[in-house]
Parts: sequence; C-alpha cells; structure tokens
Amino acid sequence: MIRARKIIAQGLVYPIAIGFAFLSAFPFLWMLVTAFKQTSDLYNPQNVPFLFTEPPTLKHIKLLFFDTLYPRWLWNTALVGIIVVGITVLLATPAGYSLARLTGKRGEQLGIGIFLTYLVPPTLLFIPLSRVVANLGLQDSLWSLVLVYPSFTVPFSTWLLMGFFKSIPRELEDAALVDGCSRIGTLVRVVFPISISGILTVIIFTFTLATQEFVYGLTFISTSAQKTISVGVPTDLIRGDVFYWGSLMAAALIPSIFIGIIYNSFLDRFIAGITGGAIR
Amino acid sequence: MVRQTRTISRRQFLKTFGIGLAATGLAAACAPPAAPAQPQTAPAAAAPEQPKTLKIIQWSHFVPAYDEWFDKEYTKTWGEENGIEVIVDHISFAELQARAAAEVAAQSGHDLFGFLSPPAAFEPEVIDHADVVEEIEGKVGPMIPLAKQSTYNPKTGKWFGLSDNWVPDPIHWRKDLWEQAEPGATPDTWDDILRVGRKLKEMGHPVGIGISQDIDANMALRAMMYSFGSFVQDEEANVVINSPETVEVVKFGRALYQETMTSEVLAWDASSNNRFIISGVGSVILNAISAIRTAEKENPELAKNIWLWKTPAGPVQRLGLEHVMGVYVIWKFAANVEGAKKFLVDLISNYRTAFLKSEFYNFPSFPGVVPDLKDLIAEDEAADPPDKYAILGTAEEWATNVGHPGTANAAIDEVFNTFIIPNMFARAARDEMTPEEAVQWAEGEIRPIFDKWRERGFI
Repeated sequence: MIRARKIIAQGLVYPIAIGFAFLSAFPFLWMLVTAFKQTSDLYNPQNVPFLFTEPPTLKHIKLLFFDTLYPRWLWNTALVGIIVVGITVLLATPAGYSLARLTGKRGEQLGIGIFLTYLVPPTLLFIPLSRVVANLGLQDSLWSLVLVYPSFTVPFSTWLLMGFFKSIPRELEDAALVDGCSRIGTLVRVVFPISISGILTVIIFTFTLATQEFVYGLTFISTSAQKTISVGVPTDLIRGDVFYWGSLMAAALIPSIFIGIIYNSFLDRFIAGITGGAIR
Repeated sequence: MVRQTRTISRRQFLKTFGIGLAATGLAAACAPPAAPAQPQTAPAAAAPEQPKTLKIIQWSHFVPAYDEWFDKEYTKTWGEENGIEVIVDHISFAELQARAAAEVAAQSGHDLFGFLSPPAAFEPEVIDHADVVEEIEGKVGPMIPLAKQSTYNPKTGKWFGLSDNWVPDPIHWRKDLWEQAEPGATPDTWDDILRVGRKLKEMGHPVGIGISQDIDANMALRAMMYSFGSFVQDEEANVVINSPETVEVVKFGRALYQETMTSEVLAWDASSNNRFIISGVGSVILNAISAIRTAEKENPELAKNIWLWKTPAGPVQRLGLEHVMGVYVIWKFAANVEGAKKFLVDLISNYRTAFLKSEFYNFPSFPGVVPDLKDLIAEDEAADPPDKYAILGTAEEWATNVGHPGTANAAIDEVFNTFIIPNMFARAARDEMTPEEAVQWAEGEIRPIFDKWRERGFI
C-alpha cells in the first residue's frame, strides 16, 4: 500500500517537475537555437522554430565578438556587479542584523520603510539622480552605476537578511556573550558563519540585479567603452527597426549561462537563504 | 543595564541614519529644476578658449557602415581640420527621449543631440538655431518646407532644431502576391489596399499596418488620416480632431483591420514591419526603405518581389508622412555651442556622402546638397531592377510633417509620444468603442495637452 502510494506520488511529481523544468529552460533553448540560426531560417514561418532547417552559423557570434564591444561590456558588467555586491553585503548585513535584533517593533517598521524604497521604480528616479551624478562629475563613468545601484540593492538585501537573521536563535548569541565574546565578536564568530546561506543569496540577487539593470545604465553612460551589457547590446544590435536577433540572443545567453552556473552551484544554500525567514 | 544603554545608542544611530538617508533621497528627488541657460556661460568662464571637444549623441543607424563612416572617417577628419576632438556616442532610437530628458535634468551631456522626430517639447532647453539655418541656406540653398515645418515654431519665432535629413515612408508591397490576388492591381489608394487586402488575407498574406503604441503605427495612421482630410490640429494649432473626416477614417481603419489584417498589428513594434515582410507572410507594409534593404541582404530572392509605391491616396488627397526626421539640437547648456554650430554647417553642406553611405535612407533636408539625387536613386546596385528606388524621387510631393497642416509643436509632440492616435484607432478596431466614441475620446485626451502648451506660450 505504502509502495503503491509512493509510486503514484512519484508519477505525479515527475511530470510536474519535468513540465516546470521545460518551462524554465525554454527561453534558454530558444536563445541557443536562435544564436546559431541563419537569419533566413529564423524568419521563414514554414520552418520549425526549434530545428535547423538551414545549416547552423557562427556569423552572429562573430558579429557579437568582433564587430561590437561585447567583451568589454561583459567586463564592465562583471566589474560593476562585483563592486556593488561588495558594497551591498557590507551595508546590508549589519543593517539587516540590527533591524532584526536590536530595535524591536520600530525596527520592523523601519525595515518595511527601507523595503518600500526598493519599490520606487528607476523610471521615476533617473531624472533627479542624473543631476546628482552630473554634480559629482560621474557621467560616462562606471562609478556612477557603482554609486546608484546600491540604492536598490541595499534595501532589498537588508529586508531579505532581516528575515534570515530573525530565524537564528537568539540563545546562540547569548551563549557567546556569556562566554566572553563581544557583540562584534559574536557577530563575526557565531552569527555570520551560520548566515552564509542568506549572505550568498544576497550576493546572487545583487549581482543579478546589477547585471540586468537598464535605465540608470542608459541615462548615466553614453560612451560605448563604458557601457554594460544591458545597454551596449540593444544599442549596437537594435539599429532602428532592424534587429540582429541571432546576435541579440547570443549576447543574452552568454551571461545567462554564467549566472545559471552560479545559481545551480549554490542551489541548496540559496533555497535556505530565501526561505530562512519563513520558518520563524 | 549596559545592554539597555547600547540599545538606546543604536536607536539614536538608526534614527539619525534613517533621517539622513530619507533626507538624501528626498533632496535628490525634489531637486529644483536647474535655471536654464546659466551653465552655457559657466564653462566658457572657466575656460576662455574654445573647448577642444565636441560631444555628439545619435541613434545607431540601421546601416552599420553609416556609423562606421560617421564615427571613424567624417568626424575624425573634421576634428583634425578644426582642432577639436569629436566624440560620437550612439543609442538605440527608442531610448532617445529618456536620454534627452536625463541630460536636461542634469543640465549636462552632449553638445549635439540627434533626435529622430521633431523635439518640440524640448524647445525651452535648446538654443535658437536660426543663424545656423541662415548660414547653411546661404551656402546650399533652401531647406525643404517639410523640414522647416518640423523645426520652426512660428509662435515663438524660434528654430528649436536643425534637420539634416528626413526619411521617406513608402509602401512596400509584394508584387507577385498582388498579381495573384488581382492582376494589374497596385496599392495606389487606401481603397485598393482594402479591396485587394481582403483577397490577400484569404491567401494567407495579410496586410500589416500597425495599430499599436509604436512609431511606425503613429506614422502610418496619420498618413491614413491626412489622405482622408482628417487632422489633429489646423494651421493655427486649434484642435480639429473631432470631425466627420476623422470618423470616416476611423471607420476605414476598423474595416482595414477586421477585413485585411490579423491581431498581430495591435502589438506592432519597430521590428514588426521588417519581420512581417521578410518572413514572406506580409503583403503590404508602410515603412522606410530599411525593410527592403534588409530583405536585399538577407533574402535577395524575396527582395526581387518587394516593390515600393507612393503613400496611398485617400478620398481627399495623397499625403503621408516622413518615416523619421533627423533633427539635431544644440542644448543651451552645451559646453561647445560654437563648435556644434560649425559642425552642423559643415556636415549639412557636404551631405552627399552621408546620403550615399545611408543607402538612400537619409534624404537631405537641404536638397541643394545632392542635386543629382533622382539620378542616383534610379540606378542602385543592390536593387533588382536597378530603378526600384526611383519612385522615391517624388517623395517630397507626398510627404509632410507631423502636425500638418500646422507645424510640429510641443503639443503635437506630446500627442505623438503618448500614442493617442493609435489608441483611437485600436479602440474602434477592437469594437471597444464606436468610431464616433473613439474620436470623442481622442479629443478629450488631446485638448488638455494643447491647453497646457498654449498656457505656457509655446503654441
């Protein structure tokens, strides 16, 4: 009976899981196929979209790497992403901990307030912020993005970590304090090591947010060599009403693979980080 | 006890930090608009000499070779001759407005900003380009009326931009399919397109005129309106959208959608026209020649069957629009106003190469610079037959400005950018409103926009 139930359960679980997996992987499959398809093959509605009716081509990849500044944009994106991750972790970790532990209900209200700032869309903020960036002399510099991106990564990460820190038993910290640890020592030796999942989640989220950001990148940077992927790619591969679909898909696929590998490498910790606040 | 003291301290810290953070955000968000024109003199005071750089931003041209020539040949040579380093930045055309708004907010950015539509709403932020127009006209002859109507505000007497080029918006049609549907038929009138379009749709080759929030739809639907004698404004910038002619054209648009097109056109974007015709499915589109040029490169066999035609005639007249309008502006806050003016004079006075490098896309706004234009387009190497583009030689006769019969102005610009006209057609096409109701709705949207700009003294 138990065995039969198990088989039925598995019979339900697998089709659902496979369905979701296909749904999630579909955009990547589409990008992969399109990146190597000849344009005439892609445009012909008689052809099966997921198969190569005409021989695959490397033309789109060549265009991307040799006729645009794509490698440079990749580097810029990675650089900005890494610095913003550093800033975000440095600010959001103590902020999240403080709000979770030390300020009670007012801390919760403040936490919600900080999270609400994350909900203000960049399409409203880019105009006033462009004045700030200009006054600081940071136009056309990657530092403008390093300055501005934490304005949306820190609130979100703080809120995320707040929930995570709340799930850590306070008794652990009290025990460390009784044993002679200072507050900072407790944080460094006890709290942060067991919070690695939450911090890792923040790192991945922040890096993803910084990689995909468009509006600030568009308005603060116009020099091709300083652009990030999200701005450089549409600038060079969407020329008026002519879209270079193959190269566009390749340009989107390459960083996706990298981020996909990071996500999957730390999947267990990532899930623990995301759901950390839910078990309290 | 110690713990309590620490708690209070942290609270104070958080309170201070929170207030500081909020104040910083508010200060950024509520920063007052910069006083216009002030920064224009500031850089000059700091550096009495002519600035050594000239910064230009414009769209990424659909012909990559045009940008290659402009960025690496023309501007480099011009810069060496004038002792100025020219920096050219590019941007996707859909992002031009956002970028311009950011530069205005920052009162800083590029010296020359290249728009693809008349940027009348930015009139307060740009210099009067009258002296540049005068100098160029003195050298190469007059500007075409279409370009003047798009860049000169008769109310304020200000040239709020300088058009170097305009782009014709011809019909692209599949001659082979039309021949099958009705031998000898051509898309000469909107009625022809409706009549033959019904048969083409049955054959699996529908018509593709966008009815969406998109620049192509904005242009095509206005072309349809003008040919029916329907306009947004009159010559004095009075709103005249609610007219029997507009009701008629909306009825026609509804019929065209329901009988010759598919629902795809309600989600048309900038790439749709090209994709539609190059896929081999579409039988008619209204687009710049980028569509047929792309077909020539990607599918030469198909391109042989794609032909060009004038904008279709309606019951009142044959009148369409430019597809896009190249307009440079010099910001009041530009660091190198004199350099920008000289660059424009030199570029436009020598526009022949630009016209050729653009593969006949950029028609000169000062036609005197390419006196043999008709001969050039009658013999194109890529076209089959070579005189396929010759019909564009008459484009000036059937193209006018957005805002016709008045000029392009700030209100027209806002109506254009808020897509009220495509929305009007879409509401009727989808039977959400009757044509009469859709026109009344559009009038209700347009009048406040005109009132606002009239109050500000720009119309």
